Amino acid sequence: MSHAVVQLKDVTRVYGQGNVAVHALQEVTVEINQGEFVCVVGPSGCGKSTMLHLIGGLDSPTSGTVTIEDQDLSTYSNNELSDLRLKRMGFVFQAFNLIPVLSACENVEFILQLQGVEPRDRKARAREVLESVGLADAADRRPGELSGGQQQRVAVARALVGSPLLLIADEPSANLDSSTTRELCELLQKINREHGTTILTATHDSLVMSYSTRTIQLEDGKIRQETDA
Amino acid sequence: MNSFKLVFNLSLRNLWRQRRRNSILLVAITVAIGGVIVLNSLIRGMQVQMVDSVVENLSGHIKVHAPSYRDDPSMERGFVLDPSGVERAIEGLPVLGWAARISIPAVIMSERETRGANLIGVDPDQEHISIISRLELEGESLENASDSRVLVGRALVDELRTKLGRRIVITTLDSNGMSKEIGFRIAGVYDAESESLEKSLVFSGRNALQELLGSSNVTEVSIRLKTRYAQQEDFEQVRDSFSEFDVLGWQQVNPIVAFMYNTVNLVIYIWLGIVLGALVFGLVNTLITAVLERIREFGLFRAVGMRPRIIVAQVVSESVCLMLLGIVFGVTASLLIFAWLHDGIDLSAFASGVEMMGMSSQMKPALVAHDVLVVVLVSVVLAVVASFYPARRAVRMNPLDALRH
Repeated sequence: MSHAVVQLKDVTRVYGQGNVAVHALQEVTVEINQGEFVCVVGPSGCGKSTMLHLIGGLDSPTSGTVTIEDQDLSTYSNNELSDLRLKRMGFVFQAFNLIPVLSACENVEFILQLQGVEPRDRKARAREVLESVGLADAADRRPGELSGGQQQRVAVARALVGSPLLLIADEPSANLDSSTTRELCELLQKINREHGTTILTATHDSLVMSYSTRTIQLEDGKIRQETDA
Repeated sequence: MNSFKLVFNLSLRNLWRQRRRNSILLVAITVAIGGVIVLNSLIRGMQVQMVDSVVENLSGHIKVHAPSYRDDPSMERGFVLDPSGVERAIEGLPVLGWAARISIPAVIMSERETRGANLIGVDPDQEHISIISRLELEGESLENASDSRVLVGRALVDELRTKLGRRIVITTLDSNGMSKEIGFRIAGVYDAESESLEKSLVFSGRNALQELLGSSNVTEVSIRLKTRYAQQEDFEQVRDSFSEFDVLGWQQVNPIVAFMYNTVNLVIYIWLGIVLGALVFGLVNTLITAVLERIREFGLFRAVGMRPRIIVAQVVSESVCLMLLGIVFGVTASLLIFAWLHDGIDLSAFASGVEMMGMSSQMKPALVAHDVLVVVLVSVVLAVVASFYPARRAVRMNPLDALRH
């Protein structure tokens, strides 16, 4: 039986104070199990990104607990959170966020470099992952020389290269056309199935939802509905 | 090690990414560092010339006087020369030579004018250590220590309205403190670089003066070393042998020049502080711009787990790399300019001004390794200091805000 990789218990996140307070999440309780491909959906401002940021340790809840592999994130120091993100998580962002001065291969290698992997292993592993996302030929090109779809695949490769437990993708298809989105989703599904990587993505896109194993629908910071595929 | 390579690699590429902006800053660093080193070398050259000039103009590196001579320079305050005692005192020291002299105030009278000057009794054979052997002369030089003629400076001759070959009368005090008038013939008229020197020094044979003044005293022994500066132990050795005498360095003999010498040291560091301080503002400005341009990049770094200290290291490394490059260019430029100015700058247009400072009218730069090292080290330290504020901004940004930027 799969165990819970992520647990949110009564998590509330409030931005601002008094009259201008915004309740981005309100007493959300949810579990995400290993090997799941979960889509968090809902209208803009419903709290999707906030939920992902709390799980990624990039933000902390106003109340409630966020645990990753049974470890409460509130007990982690900043450096421990950095290490957790580096070694156990992979991030894919809406705007790709590749480092413009590095080639595709170096962008992927960058994570392994931070992890302290030896140069020879690093290069081979980065090329292997780029090949798995279909970008073996573009390894030496800089982000500016790649299409949007290629850049997002480099971002996926970068998120995957450290063999993360959890891949967090915040609106990964927002800047892609439908055929590129389909390619990206197929890639994420392949990763999920072949490597058992847990994938958590926030999206508006029904195409992305169609690839998930579970959908969590948020509305006004609360879970409105959970649907298994 | 991996992180270090990563930081270094990213720094170099980011510098190259903004090459136009960084090139402008690089030119500013090169000009500032090159300028500071060149100007320092000119100031040091001036300082060296001041010392050389003072040492050569009769001070020597070490001077021995009878006690209280400086309060009342006269034959009465002289001492009997013991050449073997001097030789013992300087044994083992890097000595170029020594000279025993009489130096007393006197009134010089021609048939038309009267002026005050110092009457210097010298042994020409010992004066290879001083300016006396290199004076440009019209007429004849002193033949030996017994020569009872005088050498008078051109400016004094003009003021006295006399000329070569004429007789002048010198009034001074003898060893008993009694006023004595002696007639001398002008054997030579000398030209010195400094007009004040020409007006103030009149030379005659030492033995001849002793005979005329009825005394076997000398008033000073001047020791010239082969090195530019005397060491403390050199003084102590001479002081041990002349324990009852005043043993002085050029700084005590010429306190005004010593004050100027020390002021120059201060000026060098003030100038260094001003130029490099101004440079720091340019560096901070450029680094802040570079950080603000890359807010999303730093947000990404934080989001994927890069530790803050590595981000700080990256900003510091960019600053230091730029500064090191500027140092290489700046030092190279300064060496080229130094080679070009090696023969000196002609300051004859400002002759009276430079004369006051005890310098010659040819200003030669002197490159001191210590000065270059200080400029390099201070620049590197400032590059690190300048990068702290931008680095702090890069680290303190909330990664989420940075990613949304």
